[in-house]
Amino acid sequence: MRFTSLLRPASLNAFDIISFSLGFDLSGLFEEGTDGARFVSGAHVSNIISKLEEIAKVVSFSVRKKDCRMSLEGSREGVKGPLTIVAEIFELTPSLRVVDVKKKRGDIVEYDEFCNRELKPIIDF
Amino acid sequence: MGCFSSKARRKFPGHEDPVLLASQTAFSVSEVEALFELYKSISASVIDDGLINKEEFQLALFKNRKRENLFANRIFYLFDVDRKGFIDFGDFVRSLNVFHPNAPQEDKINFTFKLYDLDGTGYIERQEVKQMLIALLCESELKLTDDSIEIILDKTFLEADVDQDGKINKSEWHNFVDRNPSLMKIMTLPYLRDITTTFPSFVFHSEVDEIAT
Repeated sequence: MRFTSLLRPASLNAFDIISFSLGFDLSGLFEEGTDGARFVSGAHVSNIISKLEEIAKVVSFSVRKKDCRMSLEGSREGVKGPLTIVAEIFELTPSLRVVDVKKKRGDIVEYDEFCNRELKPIIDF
Repeated sequence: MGCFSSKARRKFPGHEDPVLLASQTAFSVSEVEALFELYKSISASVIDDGLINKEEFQLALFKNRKRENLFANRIFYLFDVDRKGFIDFGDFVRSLNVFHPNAPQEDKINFTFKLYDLDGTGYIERQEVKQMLIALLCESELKLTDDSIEIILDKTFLEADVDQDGKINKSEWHNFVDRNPSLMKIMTLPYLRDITTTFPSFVFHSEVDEIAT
């Protein structure tokens, strides 16, 4: 039995939303490329989680999840470790969810490729 | 240890004694040295004058020197501690220090208060929050109706603006952050703990090496 439809994602206040700005992301000083992405979706949390699990299956990533937070980990060992992506789902308004995606470990180029090839085509509802 | 600055170092306008900076911050001397490598490359990227101007800051953050961003402007403004119009090395290290995982929470909270108090009145007014929210929406792919924006502002101020005077004062901000610790996420850069592994090139440039040769 799946209870994911009972999940209430954390609700975002104005400052949470403002915090998404790339202008606050000082990691750009230290690293090439961006570290995170955000997608807006009108779908229910459970559907978003299912979609992410689907993507993980296609690329053979292992999934760990807790409430509205998921971690997708690849098996290929790169110089910086296996690509590990964390996705967190928040409520933007009662009808919109935000999926906040970040690279936790691994090579940034591989991460950019993953976002563009696997995530973007499927997640943009 | 003491000041072993070589002639080349003393000529560098922004440079400050790494031992002094290390004693004032959570960084070790070798970490300050590593930050100096980073600082050198950023400060030379548009005008090679040893100082970081706004365009160089934008270039470093966005890989685009012309990209204007309200929030990057605020960060630049706060890093430029005595409003010189540029960031020198001391500013750079002391400001990044606030983002260190070991920096006091109090400093991080105070920094964000100043960050969001756009006009420096000592209060974060509803109009300022609205302006920042709209700026974020412009920069990202997020779209919200005017009504949604007002609802989000209402909700935020209901919780944060305890005396309901339309603005958030410093103590209200502290309380609000205590209840919403995720707001401080932007104020910690975990890899500041591993700076020396991010910039191995410092090993060839450190002052300690220069003494040895």
